[in-house]
Amino acid sequence: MKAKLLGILILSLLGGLVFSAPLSLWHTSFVSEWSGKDAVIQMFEQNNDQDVAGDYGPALYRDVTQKLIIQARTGTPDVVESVLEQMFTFAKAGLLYPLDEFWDAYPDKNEYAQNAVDALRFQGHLYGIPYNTNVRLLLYRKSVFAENGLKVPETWDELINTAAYITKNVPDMQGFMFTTKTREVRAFQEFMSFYFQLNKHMFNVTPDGVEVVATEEQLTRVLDVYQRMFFEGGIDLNERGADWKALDYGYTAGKYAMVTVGPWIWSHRFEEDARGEVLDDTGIVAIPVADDGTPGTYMEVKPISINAYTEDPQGAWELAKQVTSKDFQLLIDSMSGVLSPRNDVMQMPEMKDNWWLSGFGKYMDTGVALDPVSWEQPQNFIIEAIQKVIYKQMTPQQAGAWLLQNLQRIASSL
Amino acid sequence: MTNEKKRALTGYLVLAPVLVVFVLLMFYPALKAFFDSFTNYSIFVQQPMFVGLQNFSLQLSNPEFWAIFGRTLLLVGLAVSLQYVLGLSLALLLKEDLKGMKWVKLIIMIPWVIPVASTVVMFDWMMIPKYGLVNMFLEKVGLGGWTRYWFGDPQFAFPLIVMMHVWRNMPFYTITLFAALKSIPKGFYEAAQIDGANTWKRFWHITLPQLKVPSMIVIVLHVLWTFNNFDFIYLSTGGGPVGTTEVLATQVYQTAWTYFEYGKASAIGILMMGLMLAFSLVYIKLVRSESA
Repeated sequence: MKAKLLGILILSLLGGLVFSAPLSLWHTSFVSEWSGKDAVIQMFEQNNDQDVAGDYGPALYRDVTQKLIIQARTGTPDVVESVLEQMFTFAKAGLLYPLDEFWDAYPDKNEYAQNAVDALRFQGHLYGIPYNTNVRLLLYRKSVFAENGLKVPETWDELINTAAYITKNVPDMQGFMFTTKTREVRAFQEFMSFYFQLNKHMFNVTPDGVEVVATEEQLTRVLDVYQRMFFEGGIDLNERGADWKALDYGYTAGKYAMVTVGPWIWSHRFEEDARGEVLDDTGIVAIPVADDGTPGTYMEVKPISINAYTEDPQGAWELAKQVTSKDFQLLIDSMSGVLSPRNDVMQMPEMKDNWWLSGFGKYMDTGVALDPVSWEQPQNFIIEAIQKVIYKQMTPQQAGAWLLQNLQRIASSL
Repeated sequence: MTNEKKRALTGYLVLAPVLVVFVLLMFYPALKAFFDSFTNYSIFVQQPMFVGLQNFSLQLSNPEFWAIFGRTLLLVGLAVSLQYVLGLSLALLLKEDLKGMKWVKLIIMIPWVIPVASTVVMFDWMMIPKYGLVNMFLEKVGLGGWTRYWFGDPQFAFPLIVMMHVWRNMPFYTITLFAALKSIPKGFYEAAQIDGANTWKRFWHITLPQLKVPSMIVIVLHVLWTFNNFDFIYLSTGGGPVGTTEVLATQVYQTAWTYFEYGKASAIGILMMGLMLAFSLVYIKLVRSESA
């Protein structure tokens, strides 16, 4: 009996040496609850010819950050999906594998939109394959504008005045909505969508370090939009501090006439017919532009990256290619209602003939990717500055100066 | 080996698995955090360096730290005292065996068993502007002017956090104190009644002293729990608006997981641990000396 047990033990140990561990993939779309989850997993498992573990990691990006930082050095996961801001942090911490050599030899590379690929470069190296992209635009209720004889705003002044007019004159309807909750990433993204019209960069990243290129005047002007929007009647003061739930659900419930969001809001139509009706009554245009600004808006890019500590970089690359393939991107992007960075996917009827996606696709070239720095701290300072203005702790000028001072103070650590 | 030694050895062996788990999961992380608090450890620093007491002095000389510390104490003081007073009141009511109390006993633990994340999500949805339950109700009863995003209002965000703590934890106090009340011998009350003690005197001289030890346990537990609690605030207000709900636990989280400055985060954590250790020792000693 003892000899038998010993034999099993030795065989197990040898087996461990001979057979390598399966690859692991962390992908929030495989785990979080959304309408396309089962189809995505099914497609992946049907087409996958590699040995991949069935645990697809955490459902929330916040958890991905924590868990990856803690365990990346164990080599698990081999492949990870994230958002751009996270990817820069991971790359800066040395947790991601540079993909330049793989990418240069990749036949599909010419199918990708260059701005989406360039967005994933950090300190001269490529750290991700983009699989999902979008821009924030102005969504407005066509019927509300038609019934009230309103023109769709094209400048910041027009946006603020139109919002105030609607709030005052259209029953049960608020003209506009901003998210302004503490640590709400959407609040930061909305701020950047306006900021990018004044300056396409907030930081200048050179081999010598990071410096702030935003000016006090530019930051003040964006903060002034917030002040005017809240204090000139565009947004009810009692809606200060609200998050994405208030905005997305409020718009699709028909409570707001205009919002600046990305295409994901489309998925709300599957929750209730009434929300679908609101979305069918929606017009999509560029975010109004500052008087002396140029079109620009926050561009989101989601990458698939490889762990720097993977034991099998080649296998991980094959896995990364699989979850960014044409068929896979077509499925996942069309079902989640977002754009694909692959031109061959965007030419498919499912994407090209979809009025919603093509409406967003028209403005992709106005998308500006974030500068390649670790964004967590600037993000918090920006939201804090917004709150100082809307809770009347500071004027936009004071908050702009305060924000610039803090950005300059932390720039070297980004 | 004598029988006594054998028994002792058996005891140690039985304890060993728990001790190993304790050392691995509790003692080692605490020790690591202690050492990290003297370094500039961060995910962006390849070789952390010893910085002495710099992380501590940075915190202690920062007025914002003291404001957050004061708010943390206020939260603990308000939440724990409200929980205790309400929990004890309900326990006294339950003891009276009034009609319908059987049902109260059955449903009272519901808030306690609901996960904190679900509790916060539930409250957050109720407070949402335009169509949150609370705002819809206010509109229906003609108080539309009061509708707002309650967690986004600096005047209401902090009281709401206290309310969530009380809502969730009060049942624990109730059940613990109810069990303790049931164990007080009836003879004490009968003797006091014969001596002419009224209800208030019986409560003050019999009930409260008999509840000293269970009260100490629930109070110490909840002071520690509330002081270290992070999820209620992080999930509902994120520490806002304009920092009005920021507490030490959310500050540790932000320093560690937003700024990735583990050395600084560990220093705040060690300060918190020291404070709570001091509180627990003093409080337990006080209660014990009074009981003696």
